[in-house]
Parts: sequence; C-alpha cells; structure tokens
Amino acid sequence: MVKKTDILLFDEEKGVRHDGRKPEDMRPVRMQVGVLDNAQGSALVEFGKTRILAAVYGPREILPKHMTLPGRAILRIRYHMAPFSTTERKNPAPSRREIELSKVIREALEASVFTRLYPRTTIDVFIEVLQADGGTRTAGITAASLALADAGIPMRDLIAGVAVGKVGGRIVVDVDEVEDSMGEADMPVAMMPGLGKIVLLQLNGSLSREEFKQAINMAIGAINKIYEMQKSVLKEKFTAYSEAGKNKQQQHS
Amino acid sequence: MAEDQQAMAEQTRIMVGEGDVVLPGDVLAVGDVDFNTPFAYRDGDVIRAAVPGVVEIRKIDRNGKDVEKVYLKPFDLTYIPRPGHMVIGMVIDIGTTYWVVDINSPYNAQLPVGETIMKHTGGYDTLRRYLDVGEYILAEILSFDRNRDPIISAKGKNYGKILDGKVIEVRLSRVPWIVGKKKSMIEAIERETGARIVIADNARIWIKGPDRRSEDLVVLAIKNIEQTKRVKPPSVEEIVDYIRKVKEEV
Amino acid sequence: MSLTPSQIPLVPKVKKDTIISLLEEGKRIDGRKLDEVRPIKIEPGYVEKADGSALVRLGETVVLAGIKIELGTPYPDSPNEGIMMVNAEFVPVASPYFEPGPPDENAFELARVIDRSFRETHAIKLDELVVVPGQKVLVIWDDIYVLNHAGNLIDAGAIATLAALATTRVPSVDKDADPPIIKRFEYEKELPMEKMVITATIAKIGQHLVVDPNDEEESVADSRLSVSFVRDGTIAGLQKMGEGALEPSDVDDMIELGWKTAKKYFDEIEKAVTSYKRMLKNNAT
Repeated sequence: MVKKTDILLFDEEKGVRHDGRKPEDMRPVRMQVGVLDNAQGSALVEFGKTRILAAVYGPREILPKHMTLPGRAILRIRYHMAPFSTTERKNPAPSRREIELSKVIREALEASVFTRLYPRTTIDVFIEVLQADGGTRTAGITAASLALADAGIPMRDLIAGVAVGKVGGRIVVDVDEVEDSMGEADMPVAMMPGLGKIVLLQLNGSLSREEFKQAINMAIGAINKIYEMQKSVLKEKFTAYSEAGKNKQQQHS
Repeated sequence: MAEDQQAMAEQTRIMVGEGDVVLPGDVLAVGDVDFNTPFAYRDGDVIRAAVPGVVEIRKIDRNGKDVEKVYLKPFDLTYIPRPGHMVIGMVIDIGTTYWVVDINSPYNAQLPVGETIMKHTGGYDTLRRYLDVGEYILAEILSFDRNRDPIISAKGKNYGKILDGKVIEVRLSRVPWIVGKKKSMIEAIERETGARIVIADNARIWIKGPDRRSEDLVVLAIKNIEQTKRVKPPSVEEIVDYIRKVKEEV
Repeated sequence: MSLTPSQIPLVPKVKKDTIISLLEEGKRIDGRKLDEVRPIKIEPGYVEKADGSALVRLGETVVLAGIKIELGTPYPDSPNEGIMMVNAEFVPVASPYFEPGPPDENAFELARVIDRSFRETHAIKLDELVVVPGQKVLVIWDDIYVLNHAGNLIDAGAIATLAALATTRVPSVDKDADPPIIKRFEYEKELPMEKMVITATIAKIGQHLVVDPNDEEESVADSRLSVSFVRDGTIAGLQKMGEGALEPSDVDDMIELGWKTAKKYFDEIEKAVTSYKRMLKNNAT
C-alpha cells in the first residue's frame, strides 16, 4: 500500500498531478461497443486503468409478474465489482456502496430511457467493474449508456460521466484511485450532454461554493469530450456500413 | 396567426441528410417536421433521434401539400406484436387449455386450444401430444395491447404446426432487405433454390425445400443478406450470383 | 441490483397536477411557502441507554437516532483513529410500504449520505478516540430509526444524527482489563467534535424548487438534491436522487436554497442541544 506521505498529489512547481497530468487532463479513454455476443447491447470502457464492462438484456419478460409495472418497463441495474478488481480482494456479495451506486446509476438511466414503450417488461443493465482505479461509477454509466444505444433501446440522449475532484488544493478532472483516496473531494457527475442536463451528481468531501462552480464546469468540459468519443465509437460500429453504402451509391450514379 | 405560421415555416428545417447515420440525442430537425416515433422524439422545438439509425427523407402528402418527413431506420429493433401479424412461435410451456409460445418478443403469447384445429381438450397430455415444448407453430396475432399478453390463433388457412423444413431467426431490421422490393429478393431465392420461404412478421423464417441442400442454400443466402455491412441492401443479381457460386462450390 | 420500484404508492395524476398548479401560485399542498420547512421538534437524550440520542419530528416525519459506543479494531490504514459507522433502518411501523428484512437501497443511501458528510469533513475528532494505539479504538455507532415516513427522511436523519452526536458522552474504558472493556454509564467526556454538519434536501417538481419535501411532494418530484453543509457554509456532500434530470443552473439554485435551509436546521439543533445540556447540568447540581 502507498503511504500518504509518499505521494505529492499536486506539484505546484510543475503544475502537474502525481501521474504527470495537468488539472484538466483526462486519463487515456478507450471505448468499444458490441463486445459480447449474447447481450442485446454491450460496451467496454476504460479510463486509464479503470476498466468496465456493461451488458444490456431486454426488454424482456420478467418473473415474478408482480414486479412489473403496467405502463412502462422497469429498469434493473447492477453495478458490481469483480473480486479481483481492487487492491485487496473484494467480497463478491453486494456491499452497501454497490447497492447505493446501483441506485444512483439506475435513476440516472431512468432520466434517459423511454421506458414507456415496453410496458410490463424489464430492461436489465449489468455493469461489471473489471479493474477499479477511480471513477468506476462514471465510467460505468458511460459504458451502460453505450450498451443501451448498441441494443437499440430508445433514449433521449447518451449519458457520459466523469469524476472531478479536489486534490492537493486543486480542482482536477478524472480522479484516479490515489487522488480519490487522498484528495479532499471526489465529485462524480453524469449528463445527457446533448440536452445539457445533469442526471447524476454526488460529492464526497468538502468544496467551497466557488470550488464547486469550478468543478462542475470542468466536469461539463470533460463530459462533452467523452460524449464525442461515445458518438464516434458508435458511428464506427454502425457505419463501416454507411461509407460502403455511400461509395456504392456514387458508383451507381 | 399568419405571421406565426410564417415564423414557424422559417424556423422549420431538416438538419440531416439522406443516408446519414445518427445517434440518440442527435438533432434531426427543428420546428414542425414529421418524424417516426418511437425512433425519433420531440424535445420542445427540436426533433431528436432516440436510437442509432440511418436517415431517410421521405416525401409525404400533408393536407394536400408535399412535405418532407424525417424517417429514421433503426439498426436494431425489438419485435412488438400487432393484431393480424403472422408469426412463427416456439412452444415453451403447456397448460391444461393453452400453450405458452415464444414469439421472439418481450411478450410471450398464449395459444388457446380453441384457436387450434384440435377438437377436444383432454388436458396437459393431449395438448402435449398435439404440440410439444420446443416445436414451432405458424400462427396469427389475434389480440395484443399494453395490458395483456398476445393471444395467437393457428386456426386459419396455412396456419398450424410446422412439421418439416427449417426455421431461422434474423435481425428484424433486415427483414425488408430479405423480402426485397415487391418480394423480388425472396422470389429470386425461391426460384434459384426451389424452396418455399415463409417470412413471418416476427423475424423468423420458415424454409421448406425439396431437399436439405436447397434449404441450406436458402439459409446461406439469407444470412448473406442479413450480414451485409452497408446502408443499402445487396441487389437481387448479387444474391443470385452468390447462390450460383455456392451451388458450384458444393 | 437496483430495480424501478413497483411497490411505490401510486400518485393519481390529478394530485400531481394539483401540486404543480398550487406551486405556480407559490403555494404548497400543505400550505407552506416554497422555502419553508415544516415545524421541527428535537428531543435529545430520548433513549437513556444510548450514549447519545435524539428524537426528531420534522412535520409528521419522525426519526430517532441512537449513538452507542463500542470498542473495536482500527482500520489498517488509520490505526490511530476511532471509527464512525452510520446505519439506517426503515422499520415497518413507519410506513405501509416498508417491509421487514434487511435495509433496502433507500436506507443504505440515507446512511451513506449522512456518513460521508461527517466522515469527509472529519467532523468528529477520531484521533481522540484511541484506547490502545493501533489495536483498540472506540467505534461510534449511529443507528437511524425511521418511525414515521412523511417525507424527507435524509434531513430528519441528519438533524437527529447531529443532535445525538452533539449530546453524546464518551464512556470510560477500563484499560487495565484484558482485553479492555467499556464501563457502561460511567462517562468520561463529551464526544469531541470538530465541526457541525447538516444535510438539506431540495426537491424539483415541474419547474419549481421546494425545501423539505413531504411524502406527497417526494412522490411527484422529478428529482431531489441533498446538500450537506459545514456550519461555515462549505459544501460537505451532494447527492442527486430521483428519475429526473437537472439543469446546471438548478443545481446552483438548489445549493443556495439548501444553505438557507441548513442554517435553520443548525439554529434549531443548537437551541435544543443547549437547553438539553443546561437541563443535565441543573439535574447534576
């Protein structure tokens, strides 16, 4: 384990964080969609070493029937950390934290998914944290939203998320595990960026009002970048087609 | 009022073009433009995509005027039953007076004994002898709404248990390609293979050929169309060429 | 796993319309103004067997917080600090929709929101709760019991927690015993607190923001934001709840409204705690 004194969270001289990033820098982000054959939709999202797999099953029948709702589909969301995803092995039974995060992620997705189209069914979203290095819930919801789009489930907008924080006195974007555990504040934010709406917002730690404003603006900036990446990975999947189609049309004309 | 309408017309415009690939949240149009739900939706004055899909601009007649409609063709679809649809169902459970049938939808269908050609009901065993779990049936959706599971009937002409041939499942969004314009594609495949093909509305296809080889040929041809990775379907000629090539290879 | 609740009370659409049309006129269904909290009653010392406790009534919502202090092993990463644990139980007496059994996601959420606000601000001087460095520390258990659910359980739970902690006494420990044991009901000192922390929840219904939502308002609210504050106004936690979305400007407004509300909560708690302590002192002499 790293001792608190071993790490300089923010190097004022060089203006960089413990891993060399500037305050506004995200870690390298990678995304893939359609990674699981059995699921209706799936995605793999990485923020640095944080690696999340999301799968969507449904809309499908749910038993027992009394869990269904007459006018809409229900959402069932499980945020779960693999036992090997953390420094110390995590007991695979759901923790209080995982139960809470499943709830806030579900409520965020409810804001986007058109659940009324599929009464009396369930749409299941399973989020597995394969490796945890900070920002797992926001990477998780980013992956979940990609998987829902991949499954073709109608929704208002994609959802993109990032964790901002206060580390060594600085507001920084995309906090990793070291910054999360030693920093002063960790603030996960997720939005429907096209609509400019916040669907998930939590803060663990202390911020002044001014710091909060700075943090939320930084989050919005990063979220817009993540949104563009989501769109490009989805477009790539769906339009190896389009390009072939367009070329073909041109040949014909 | 007239000014309002004029203002509306000025603000009304389509922001996407034919063949564009769009994603949930993307703006398709602004103002009073027609679109197809639930694949697109209205958000105040803006019309946005709700699913990944390809844009088609269709000319429609609205109150005697030609206008453009944004039509979003989704890449993926969930089959939702409608009365009158022909479906291929698979029996998954048997009650004393009905079968529970999977119709490739979030909603399982019920097939009551009275909606089959079975004369008498003798409970579970009799039902099972007529139609067992795992067997396919060609049937029609009698009723379905938001509150009740679909009821299907196998009484009509051409309906009933599927006794031979092959049943395959394809992506619902690809069914129009497999059928082809005015059934041109499916008729071409039937001609080339000698098989009879029934495409149900729930994206299941029943293939009955003179022999196994012809049925396999149909399956290959259909999978070839389904897996084409482009916006426009392959042409009938392309598929006919493909079938002939496979025939030679075997 | 989190499921869209199917056991929620069904709110007739008429009721939602009524609530919203009243809000448009600046009124609420129970007659309050939009930024008005329900009457607060705080009774510290409600449970004598607890080391600290408070019964809180926030309108019709009733919450009881009890603090028990035990001996425990410190966390490996902070060997010289005591531990605070928050647990919430939504017991079936409180609502027809609460069922017996392990806490559900709402109870976990409530406990964790309050836990974080105290933990992250280092509100309790945990370093003063060490018995044997690296081996034995005091564990502060805060058990929040919801006795009647009439909305805004988080604020009621936070008020009860702060009132209970502020009146908690630390029992003496027999360090000579092996292992050391707590001497029940022999008190050594007051719980050492560094900061006062409270949480205020704002609901968004239609386009309107209301403080301290009651259960009817909660059932029609699009979303809620719980904002935790330290006494000096620093934000000590945020939790967005509900199936709706918020504009960034909503969040700013909710934080401001939250701070106005939090100041009222602090005032009420300080009044109740002061008079309770005065009473204890009078009884002692």
